[in-house]
Parts: sequence; structure tokens; C-alpha cells
Amino acid sequence: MLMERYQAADEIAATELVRRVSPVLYRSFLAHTRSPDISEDLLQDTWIRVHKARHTYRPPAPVMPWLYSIAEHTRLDGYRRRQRRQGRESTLENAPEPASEQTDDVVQRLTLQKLMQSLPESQRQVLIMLKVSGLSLEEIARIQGSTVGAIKLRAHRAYQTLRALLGGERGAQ
Amino acid sequence: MSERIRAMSCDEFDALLDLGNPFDQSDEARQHLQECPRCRELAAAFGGGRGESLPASALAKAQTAALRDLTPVRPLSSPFVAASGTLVALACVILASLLLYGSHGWAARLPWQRASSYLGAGSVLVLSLAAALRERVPGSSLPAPWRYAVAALATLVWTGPFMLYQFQPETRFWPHGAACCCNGLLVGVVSGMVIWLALRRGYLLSPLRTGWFAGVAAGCLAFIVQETYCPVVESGHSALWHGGVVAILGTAGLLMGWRALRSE
Repeated sequence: MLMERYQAADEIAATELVRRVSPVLYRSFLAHTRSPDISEDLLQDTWIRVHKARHTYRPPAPVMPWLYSIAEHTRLDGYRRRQRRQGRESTLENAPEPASEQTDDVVQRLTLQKLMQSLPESQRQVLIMLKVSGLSLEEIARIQGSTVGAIKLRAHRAYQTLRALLGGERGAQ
Repeated sequence: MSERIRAMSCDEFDALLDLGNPFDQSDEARQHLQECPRCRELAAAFGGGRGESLPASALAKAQTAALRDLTPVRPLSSPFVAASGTLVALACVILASLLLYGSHGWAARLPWQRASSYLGAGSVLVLSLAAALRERVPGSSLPAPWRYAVAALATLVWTGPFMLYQFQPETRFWPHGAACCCNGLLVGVVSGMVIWLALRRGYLLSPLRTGWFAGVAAGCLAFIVQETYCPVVESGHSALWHGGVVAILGTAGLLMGWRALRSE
């Protein structure tokens, strides 16, 4: 509904759409890049592209797979651009220092981010969409141009790897 | 009456993780979380996954980007309308080509040969056209297994003539073949332009893939025209000069997609 009104140049609807969707996209970018600055730029780039492509949305199709596909391509393009510019640098080197005052929630978030870095890209993508952005399996399948079964398989492999990693960390402590 | 809660396995717990926060789930899930430290840690890590808040500056930038030059836009035509319009235009290209080149190949081929080649090329044409048209809308790409099926069938069109026709050395293989290929390429280029008209309003996230699908669709249409007008019923000629058009136009579409990607 908001998207249809955005297509009809309704400023209030567009503002509301940005307000509702941006936090989801920002969290997803942050989970991938671990840099608030880069995530902020990616979010802006995504909305520039969404604005350019807004006529391609066809109601009543779900908005999130459409929007998230654009966001995913923006993220990948941004990654390639940064890779070209900086050469092959480890993302861990660019990672911001964790905040000194850490609540339980922050600790959990940092643990998840740290663990996700050790997953293969395809599994990490699925997990971020599922657990950070809160998309459904069907929506992820549409975004990835895949089947629900294949997405489920990737997610379950990621759970197994994370479980093993958590066990390893506990053993090391 | 005492109720015993059924023990849940880690795999069953994973299925719950797909749906959301397992802390809110059934008694079985809660019991599994008490008994399994790894699943407990995993669920706890995911529990904190959605906590990041969006800075006000980022929201302001996003709103500026989304609202700049805000004018009403006409939504893209429905896939059915786009596909029907394109198919009608492509049918016109086939008719015009046959009026120009004739249909001597129809009588020269056996019914089962005609049926096999038209069915093979026609199915690849429809599938690749559908795949290309779906690429217009972000998040609507054909699922991966279907994309692989199109690629596999396109290879079959290229190699199919070896199964359909016998090998008979042709005296004017090169001059006759080159002329046949040029005619096929001309039909393919016109078809490609028709398909481009249908794609031009879309927002192509994967120009490479879209270019390849469009090229293969145009190539298959050219293949159908060549099989109808060309009287030479020989495997080498059909594979190289008819099937080759599918390969050439598929590659051309891929290169055009790559060029579009580079110019972005």
C-alpha cells in the first residue's frame, strides 16, 4: 500500500516507507560490513536505486523481496567497489572497536557477528536475512532466486557450523 | 495423569529457528533449550541479532534519496501482458521471415524431425523469454534449477541436429552455410530488438544473465525460421549454421549485458 502511494508520488507514504524499512536494511548492512559508515552509505545508495526502480514494483506482490533484492545488489556492488579501491583487505581490520560498556544484548550481538564471519558467504547471507532482517524463508528464496528447500538447507548447515563453533569457544574458555 | 514432554532433537529445534525466536515456542523447545547448552547459546546469540538502531543521520540521508524529484510513475506492465505482446511481435517476425525466405525446409523434413526440432527450440524460446522478462522486476528471477534447465536445453538445441539428421558431406558446405547463418543472424537480431523493447523499462539487477536469456531466445527463434526455410537436411549443416546462431546470439547477449554492467 505504501509502495503504491510512493509510485503515485505521495511524499508522506514515501517518508513512512523509508522510516519502516531502513532499520531492517541498515541492520543487514551492518551485519555484513560491521562498519556503521559503510552501512549508512549503502543505505543511501539503496534508496537512490529504489527511487530509480520504483516503477518496476508490481502490486500486490510483497514489497520486501523486491526491495531487498535491490539492497543486496547495492551491497555487492559496494563491496566490489571497495575491493577495487583498497585491494584485498580483511574486513576484520576495518571492524570498529566494540563499545566499552557492554550490555548482555550487545555481547550477544557481537558474539553473533563474530561467529557469522566464519560462515561461507552464501550461508551468512541467508542467516542475516533470516535472523537479522527477520525475513521469511519464502521471501529469502525469492530474493536469492532459489527454492525454499535450498534456503532451508543453507540455514541448517549454518546452524550446525555455529553450534560447533559455540561448542569450540566454550571448550577453549 | 502425568504428562511426559517428548524430547526434541537439535534438527527439530533448527526448524523452529527458521520460524523465529525459539524462546517463545512450545514446551518441547523450552525443555530442549534447558538440556542442550549449544542450542541455548545459539538461540541466545540470535536473540540479540535485531538490536541495532538506525542513526538519525542515516535515516535523513535515506529520506533525501527516496524523495528527490518525486514524480508519479507508471508501474511496469504485467508479466502476462509483456509476454503476450512480445510473443505476438515475435510471431510477426517469423511470418515476415518466411515470406522473405520461403518454407522449403518444411517439406524437406520428416514429421518427427519437424516435431522434435520445433518442440526443442520452441520450449527453449518460451523458457528463456520468460526468464528474461522476469529479470525486469527485482526479486522475481527464475529459481536457479529452472535457469540451469534453460542452459541445458539450449545446449540440446545446439547439439540436437546430430540426433535428428544424418551426416552427409555437402559439396557447398561453407558458401551455402555462411549464407544460411547470415539469414539466421538477421532474423535473430530483429528478434533481439523486439525482446529489448520489452525489457527496456525494467530494472535489470543482472544484465549479464538477462542478456544471455534474451540472446538465447532470439537465437531459438532464428533456429525455428532456419529449420523452416532451409532445404538442407544434414546434421553438420544444421548443428553449425542453425544451432551456431543460438550460440552466437547467446554470447552476443552476454557481452551486451557485460557492457551494460561496465557502463554503470
